[in-house]
Amino acid sequence: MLLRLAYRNFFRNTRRSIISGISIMIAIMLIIFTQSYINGVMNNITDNVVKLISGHIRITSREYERRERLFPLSEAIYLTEEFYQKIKHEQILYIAPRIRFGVLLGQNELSLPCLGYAIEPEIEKHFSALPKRIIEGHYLDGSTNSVLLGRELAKQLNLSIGDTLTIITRTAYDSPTGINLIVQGIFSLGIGGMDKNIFYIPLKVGERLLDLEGRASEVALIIKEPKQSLKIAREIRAKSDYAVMPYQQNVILRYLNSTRAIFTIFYLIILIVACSTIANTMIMIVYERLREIGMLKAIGMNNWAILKLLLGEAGIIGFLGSLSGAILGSLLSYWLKYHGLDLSVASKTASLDIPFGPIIYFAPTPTIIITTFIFGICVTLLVSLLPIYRAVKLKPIEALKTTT
Amino acid sequence: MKKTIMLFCLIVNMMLALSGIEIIDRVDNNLVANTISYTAKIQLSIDGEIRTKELIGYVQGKDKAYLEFTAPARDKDTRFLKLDNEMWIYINEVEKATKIAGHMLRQSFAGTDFSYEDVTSNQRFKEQYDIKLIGTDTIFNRVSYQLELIAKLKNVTYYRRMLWIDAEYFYPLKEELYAKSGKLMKEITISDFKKIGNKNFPTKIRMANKLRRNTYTELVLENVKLDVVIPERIFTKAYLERK
Repeated sequence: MLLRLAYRNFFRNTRRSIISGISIMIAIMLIIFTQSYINGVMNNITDNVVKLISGHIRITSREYERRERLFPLSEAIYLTEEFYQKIKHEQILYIAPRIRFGVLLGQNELSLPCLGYAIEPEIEKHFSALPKRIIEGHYLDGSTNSVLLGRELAKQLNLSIGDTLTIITRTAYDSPTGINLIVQGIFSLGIGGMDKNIFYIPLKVGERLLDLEGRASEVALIIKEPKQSLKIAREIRAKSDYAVMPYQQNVILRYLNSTRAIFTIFYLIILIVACSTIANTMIMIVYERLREIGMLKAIGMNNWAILKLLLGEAGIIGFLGSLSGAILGSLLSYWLKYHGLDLSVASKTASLDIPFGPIIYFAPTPTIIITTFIFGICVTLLVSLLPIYRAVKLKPIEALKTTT
Repeated sequence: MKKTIMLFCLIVNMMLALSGIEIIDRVDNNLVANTISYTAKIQLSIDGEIRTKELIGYVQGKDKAYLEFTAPARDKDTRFLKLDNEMWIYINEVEKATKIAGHMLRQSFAGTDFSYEDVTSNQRFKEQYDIKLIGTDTIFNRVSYQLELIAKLKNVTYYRRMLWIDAEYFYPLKEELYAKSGKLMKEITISDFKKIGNKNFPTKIRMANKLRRNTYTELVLENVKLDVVIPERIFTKAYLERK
């Protein structure tokens, strides 16, 4: 009975109700859209961190981890049978040893700071994005003195396929060392920092160049069930004295996860701004119907029933606004989940530290949609409470005296 | 007794007061030569682990230097050539000289605590710094003059140097090298020298880069020849790239 009355009241000023509903709808749509986008960005960065930087689990020596920024190659791991035994686990799909080293590159003089990765091409091709992102030439073949350059790096060095790149650096034992490499391929990952500063060489070549035969500065593990990484890392740590880092503990990802709390505050602000419209609507409704409310009270309607009546009306606006917002937000987010949002312009400036891009695939989830929908209704009801409370507290005789 | 008398004479001599400029002139006369040629052993200590390298070096004036590693086998035939402000490196496998960027000359030389500039430097302090005599001090049981040098040229690597100059032989017993920010960057101690002609030339130099942890490099110079003629062809790219 009360609900029907509330429903009829909804149509007493249809335009005003619709405007209030639309503001809720826009807020809910925006929140679902933003959450799906943030999720997409996180997935994108996680994917890049896992596939291009650390794997699901990264193993280094403890000393290497401590002084990582200085590339302490002398602390590289020995890839012995004993090492492989220590890290053995049925969940491991691939074991990718790598050597990461810093060099200065340049055509006329060595002045461009770059990051070299010596990788096992045959292993990496199973999970790395690299082979699919070769835009010129070919992927590495393993043992020849070849190099893969990022598109921007190749441009800066004025090198193309078949040209020679000279690398001068220091071995793990601080001896000056160098090598001539043939440019075999040029890649474009769409991540500014990586396309501009990174090159890949075969592990065998890196071992020879850096005096690290049979060693690797880090070993990336790819796991069958990535969510198990924390547990597997714990198990490997327990039976070895290596620094074992699951991707969930990666500094970049931990930092980005910590920013999610800030976004929650942002969502709340959007919703509160939107709900100020409904609060305003409820104030006007109460003001307009003071005599009517007084009359209802005079004929015996109790405070609780008045509260339910007015809350019902606000609830209908909140429900319809949230529902339409959830539907539109979901449609938009799911469309972008499959088609992606091209952010190549922004990702070109992405640093090595936060490797995102170039296409962000949104990641809406049923949890995001349902919680945002419920959140929308709850906040609507909450902000309506204050004006409604005023109406409920009104004495019938005072309400009847008002001249609106 | 004899020692005390000598020390007394020395102090009296010092009190007869050499100025900072006069002291640094004598130091410059000892350290700087028209040409220097030497063989050297470098002992690099990192966390207590010692790595030894050997090299030969030729220096002419302040603008020309040639260095070549002779041992260990891994480093053999790695060569460096400094011409004016440019530094070139030759590595056997690369088979051509590659230029090292100007700012890199202040970076570590072959992983040691010395920079490229440190090992090729042959310039008078007096040309680069304003000199201030702080006083006298006793360091490593030697009476010394303590000098403060503040850079008067813009492109000097170390803005400020504190020098403890042996009051008898006029070579630095110890040097502290500071950045403009006041941060101590390096510390040099010289524990031996050789009298060559009229110069007291340092032959055992220990450098500790204070920006690195637990490292030092000891450079022991042997077969030092000063002011001899060094063939001009040594300071050419052709010589650097020779097979």
